[in-house]
Amino acid sequence: MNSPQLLLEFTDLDALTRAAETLRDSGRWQTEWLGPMPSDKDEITVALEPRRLARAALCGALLAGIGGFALQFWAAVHDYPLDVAGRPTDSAIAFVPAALEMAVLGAALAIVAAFFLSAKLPRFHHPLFDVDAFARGEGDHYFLLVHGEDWQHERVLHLLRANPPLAVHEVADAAT
Amino acid sequence: MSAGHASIAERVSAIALETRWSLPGRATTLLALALCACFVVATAKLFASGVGIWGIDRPVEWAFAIANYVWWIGMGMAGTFISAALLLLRQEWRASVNRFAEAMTVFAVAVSGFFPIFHLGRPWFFYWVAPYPNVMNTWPQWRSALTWDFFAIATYLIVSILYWYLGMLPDLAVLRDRARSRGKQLFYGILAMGWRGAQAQWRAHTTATRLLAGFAVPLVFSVHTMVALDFSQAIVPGWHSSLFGPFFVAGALFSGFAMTLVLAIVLRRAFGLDDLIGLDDLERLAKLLLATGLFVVYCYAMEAFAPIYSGDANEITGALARWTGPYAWTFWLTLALNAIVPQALWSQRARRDPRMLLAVGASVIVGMWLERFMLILTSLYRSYLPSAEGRYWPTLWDWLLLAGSVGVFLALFLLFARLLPVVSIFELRKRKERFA
Repeated sequence: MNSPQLLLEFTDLDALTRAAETLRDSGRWQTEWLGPMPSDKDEITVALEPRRLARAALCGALLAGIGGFALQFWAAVHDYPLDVAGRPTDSAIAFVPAALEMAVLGAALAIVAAFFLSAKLPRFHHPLFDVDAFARGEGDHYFLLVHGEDWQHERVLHLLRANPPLAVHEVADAAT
Repeated sequence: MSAGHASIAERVSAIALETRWSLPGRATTLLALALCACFVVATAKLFASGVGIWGIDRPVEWAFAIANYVWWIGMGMAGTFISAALLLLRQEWRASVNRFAEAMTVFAVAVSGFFPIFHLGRPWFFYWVAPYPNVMNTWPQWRSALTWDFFAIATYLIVSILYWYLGMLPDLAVLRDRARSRGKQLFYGILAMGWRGAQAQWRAHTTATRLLAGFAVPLVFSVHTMVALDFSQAIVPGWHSSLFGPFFVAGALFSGFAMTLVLAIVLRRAFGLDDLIGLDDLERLAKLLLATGLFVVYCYAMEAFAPIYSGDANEITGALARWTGPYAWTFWLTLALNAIVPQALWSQRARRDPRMLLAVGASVIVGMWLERFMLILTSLYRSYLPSAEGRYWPTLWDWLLLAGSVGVFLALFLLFARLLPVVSIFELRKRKERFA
C-alpha cells in the first residue's frame, strides 16, 4: 500500500481531536495522532491497554517467581541440603524473599519487552521523519496522520475548512 | 497554550545540548573526579592488602562498609518512591523532580552495590553468592539475608535502570530532534529507539510505566526490609528486633527525600529551573521529609522502649550502653541531626526557604549515615561475653572509601546532568497544560 498519506499539523490536541472526529465521521479515512505528550484520556483510563503488557507482567512474575522458589526448594532439599542442628531443609518461608525479588525482575523484564513490541520499537527510520516539521519537533505541535482508500487532498481539507490545520504535509506509507 | 511548551523542551534540552558549564560546575566536576581517584586508590589498596587496612577487628567486625552500603541504598529509596508511588497516587507535582530523583536512585544503588563486595575477605569470590551451576557442587545459603541482598540489589538496580530509561524515552526523542551536531543526533537517536510519539506508543508507554511502578513500589519496600534483615537476623542485642524492617524503610525514605531535596535545590540554582521546580514542589518534598522524619523518631522511641519493656538483661544492657557508653555521642548526635533539626520544617517559612531546606537536607543525610554507624558500633563494641568488648577507630582507608563513594555518585550525577534531560519534559508539559 504505497498511497501517500496526509500529515496535518495542529497546535494543540483539542483542534486535532475535532478534526479527527470530523474525518472519522465521514467514514472514509482512518486517523492516528502523534504528539509530544500522552493524552488525558489515556491517563484517566483505568483499564491498562494494551492488555498484552499486563499479561506479560503476570507471566514474567509467575515464571520467575515460581522458578526461583522451585530452584531454592530443589537446591536446599535435594541437591545440597545443609544439616544445621537438624532443622528442616524445606524452609519455605525463608525462600520467599529471593523468589519475590526474582518475580519482580521477571515482571519488569517482561513489561519492558512487551512495551517495545507494542510500540514497534526500535525503528530508527520511519517515513514520518522525512517531514521536516515533524522531525525537528519545533513548537511541540500535534500531528494527525490521515490515511484511507479515497485519496484526495482537497476533500480532506474541504471537510476541515471550519478548523483548518496549521500545515499539511504529504508522506509516503507512514501508517503504523 | 502551546507556545509555552516549546520553552520547557527548549530549556531542558538546551541544558544537555548546549550549555557550557560555568566555574562552579567545572569545580564540582573536578572535585568529583578527585574523589573518584580516592575511590580507585582505596579500592586498589583494599584488594591488594585485604580488609585489615580498615579499622575493623574483633568485636566490631562491621563498620564503615556496611554503614556505607545501607546509607547509599537507603538514599535510593526516595527516587523510586517519587517516580513510582507518587505516579500511582496521581501526584502530578512529581513531574518536576522524578527524573533526577530516579537518576539518584540508579546511581545510589550502583554505588551501594560495591560495598558488600568490598567487605568480603576474598572479594574475588563475590559471585559465589549467586546460584550458578558450579564445579564445587554447592549452592548459596538461601536462608541468609546476605544472599537475599544479592537478589534484592541486582533486581533493584536492573528494575530502576529500566524504569528510568523507559520514563526518559520520549525525552530522549526530544533531544534527538533538537540536536544540531551529527554525533549528538546519533547518540540520542540510538537511545530514543526511533520514538515517534504515536498514540499507540504513548498508550503503551503510559501502561508500561504504570505497571512497572506497581511492581517497583513493593520491590523497594522489600529491598530495604531485606537490608534491615541483614541486621535483625543476627541475635545481637539492639539488632534482633522486628522493628528493624519498617525502621530501615522509614530511614531510607527519610534520607532519600533529604537527598532529593538537596539535589532539587542545587539543580534549580545551577540550571535556572526555578519555575519548573517551584517553591511549592520544594515545600511538598519538605512535608514528606518531615512526615518520614516523624516516623523515624517514632522508631527511635520504640527502639528505646522495647528493650526496657522486654525485661531481657542483654537488651537492657545494650540499650544503656547505647545511651551512656563510650559511643553514646553517636546516638545523641544522630538524634540531634535526625530528630531535632528536621522539626524546623513545621514552619512554612522554613519549608519555602531553599537555604533552610538545604541545611536540613544536609543534616539528615549526615545524620542518617551516623545512625547506621551508631547502630553498628553501639551493638557490636560489647557483646554477651565480658571479654568481647573493644573499641573501634576508622582508618584513613575507611574515610577515603567513604569520600570516594560520594565522588563516584557525584561524578555519575554530573554526567547525567551533562548528557541527559534532568527533568521530565513531557510530564512537565502535561502538568503545565493541565493547570494552564
